[in-house]
Amino acid sequence: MLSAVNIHKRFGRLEVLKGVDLSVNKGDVVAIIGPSGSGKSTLLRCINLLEEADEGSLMIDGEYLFRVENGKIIYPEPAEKHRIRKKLGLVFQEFHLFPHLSVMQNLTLAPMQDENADKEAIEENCRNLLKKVGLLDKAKNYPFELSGGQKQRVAIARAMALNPEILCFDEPTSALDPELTGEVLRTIKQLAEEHMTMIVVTHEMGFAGEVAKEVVFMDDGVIVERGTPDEVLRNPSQQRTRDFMSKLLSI
Amino acid sequence: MKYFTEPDRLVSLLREMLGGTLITLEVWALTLLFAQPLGLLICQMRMSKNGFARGVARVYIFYFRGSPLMLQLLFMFFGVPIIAKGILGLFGSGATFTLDRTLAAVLAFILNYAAYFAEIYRGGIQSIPRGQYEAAHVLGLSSKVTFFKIILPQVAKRIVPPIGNEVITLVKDTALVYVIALQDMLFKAKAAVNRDVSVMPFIIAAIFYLIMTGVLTHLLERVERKFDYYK
Repeated sequence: MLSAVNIHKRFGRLEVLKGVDLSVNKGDVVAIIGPSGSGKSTLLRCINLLEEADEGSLMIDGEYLFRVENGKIIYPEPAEKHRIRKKLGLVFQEFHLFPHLSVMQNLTLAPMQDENADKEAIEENCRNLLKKVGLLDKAKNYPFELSGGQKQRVAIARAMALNPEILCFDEPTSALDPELTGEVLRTIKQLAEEHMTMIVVTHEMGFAGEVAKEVVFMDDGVIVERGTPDEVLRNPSQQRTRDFMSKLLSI
Repeated sequence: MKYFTEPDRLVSLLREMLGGTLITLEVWALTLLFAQPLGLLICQMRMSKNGFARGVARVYIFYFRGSPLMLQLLFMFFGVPIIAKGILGLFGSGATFTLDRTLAAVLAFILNYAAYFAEIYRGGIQSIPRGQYEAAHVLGLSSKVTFFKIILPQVAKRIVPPIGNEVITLVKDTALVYVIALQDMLFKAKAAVNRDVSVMPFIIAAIFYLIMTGVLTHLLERVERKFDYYK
């Protein structure tokens, strides 16, 4: 479904990603864990084209979204790029809802841009999504009237409104008070149960262990270890992974 | 006291000053009408990827914000015709060139205020967090839709207070047109003070200005309240 090969990313002289491979199968949930500055978020941003990779390639559903040749990033022609790009959705740490639009408008804005959009079908779909994340009663409210957890659930519904095939999460609970993380994690878990393909960058080890099919541990711009949650979280084979896990447990 | 014992004098003074107020309002309205779009253009140049456009906008803002508005008025009315005559002379023409006083004043104000508006727009656009652009990007919105549906509505809310400042300052700045002998309201008041040896015209002028700025303050508050539906 998704296959990223040899992704490199440099910011000036700092190499943040040093050749990362990632592949995700349909219906799988992959959790990416690791210390701050390990490159997890940058990887997700490269996959979603918020950053341009300096080397490597990315295939979605057997089609290239980009590949780098001779140090130059090559995209398919714009319409193709747009079509392939739309198979990905991204949920941000800081939600980034549009503050001047109501909850419902936040969801409908992007799907409505399609020329052949069926307005009523989109609204129906968005209402269902709001119902699913438990916020149908907030449809007419504005983001500033919601709690952090509610905002993030709206952001998840907004990403789902475009029917992505792969949904990415960039530390979806890191900006939330502890008592609000649960409701967001439950929403993501619910999507996992419906076999949504997801890549989740997270610091929530319990959640990663419970929901992910594969856990990837990144440090210093490379993937140190990957495997089932049992392997990576409970019996890591690499010293660096063990150090990271023991630091978490000792707090 | 003359104005109280001879009501006819008061009426004719008020009539005179209301006539001057028309000049004040004319300069004010025309400046706002044209300085806003010009400011938007300069703002776009200032934020452009093209280094030349950026440079031109920088110099423009540096000059019009960095030198006195009074000097710019004098230059427009007295300087530009001299330069124009010189240029016409180069082509062998002996024609002279004059600018209408009101036109010169309005042009100088437009050029000056556009520089301030450009910087206010730029501040507004740059204050929108990057996350808004990123969210629009991952939702597949085109840059046109992103600007008009996401960025601009949020910029509008943020620039109401600073634009309001300029709108009110402009009312008072129009008094500067006396340097090119354009007879606005304050000009008429000053003439009446000299003629009648009374401070009453100044007091009336102050009241006139306060009425104008008072009405604007009220209108601006209403505009701000329109944007109150979100934070």
